[in-house]
Amino acid sequence: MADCDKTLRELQLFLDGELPSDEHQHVLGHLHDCIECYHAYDFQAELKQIIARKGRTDEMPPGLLDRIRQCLQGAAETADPV
Amino acid sequence: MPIVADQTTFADDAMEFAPQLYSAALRMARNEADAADLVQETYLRAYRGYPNFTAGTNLRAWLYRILTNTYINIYRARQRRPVETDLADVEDLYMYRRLSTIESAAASRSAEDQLIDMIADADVKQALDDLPESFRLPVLLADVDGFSYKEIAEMLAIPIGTVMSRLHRGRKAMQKALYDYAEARGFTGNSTTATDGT
Repeated sequence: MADCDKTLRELQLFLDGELPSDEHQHVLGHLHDCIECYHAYDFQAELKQIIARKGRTDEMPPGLLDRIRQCLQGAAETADPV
Repeated sequence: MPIVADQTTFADDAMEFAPQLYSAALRMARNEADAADLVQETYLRAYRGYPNFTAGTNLRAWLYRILTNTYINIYRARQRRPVETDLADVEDLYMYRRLSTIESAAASRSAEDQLIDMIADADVKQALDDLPESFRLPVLLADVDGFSYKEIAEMLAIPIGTVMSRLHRGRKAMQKALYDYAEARGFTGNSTTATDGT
């Protein structure tokens, strides 16, 4: 039970890959043995993927790339020669 | 001596990141015109600073750092600075714990899939947009753009511990919002409760 509490508390750090390697291994071992914690882990992992995928689906306005290239071209031409 | 990046190759090196920078800019500025200007300004600043970029290090993280700084220094300062609101406290693993109260343990696996399937692109964006800014930036940079705590701490010029606590609280608020959207669509079969507080 103590392991379950600790695992759930550290789940996000574990998913973020931010735990020190010995603690990471410890959580990994617990997830292997405990179906309930694994279940919670599985849900959080999937949610994290969904947020990453769906939070970044915006199309750039047409013409923005050209606008940026022109702006950089302008900066290159007006730059002081060294 | 570190290898200095060549300004003449800047566009070729950096333009591939424009779509993701635009998406991040849109989540920061929350309107398309400012987001486009923000990305253009980021590229201009990056171009000028490119001789200071150490070739072979993480160009994407470097561009995001310039984007974040540009947003904080120009766009946020330009908007009348909103009162920095705090977040209501929400329990850990909010969605997951809610699920276990709706369904029996045996059925919960399908409930989870159902809930996850119900999350739409617009929901994720709305949930992010609704976060107070000091939480929105860390959540965006960690969960959408996949940066490490250390990278985010550098981008936002705050200690790692602060990144962690803002992420923790911001994510809980995200989960509550996403759960509420799903519930409003009838996920729990109890749509009359809908979203609270708004």
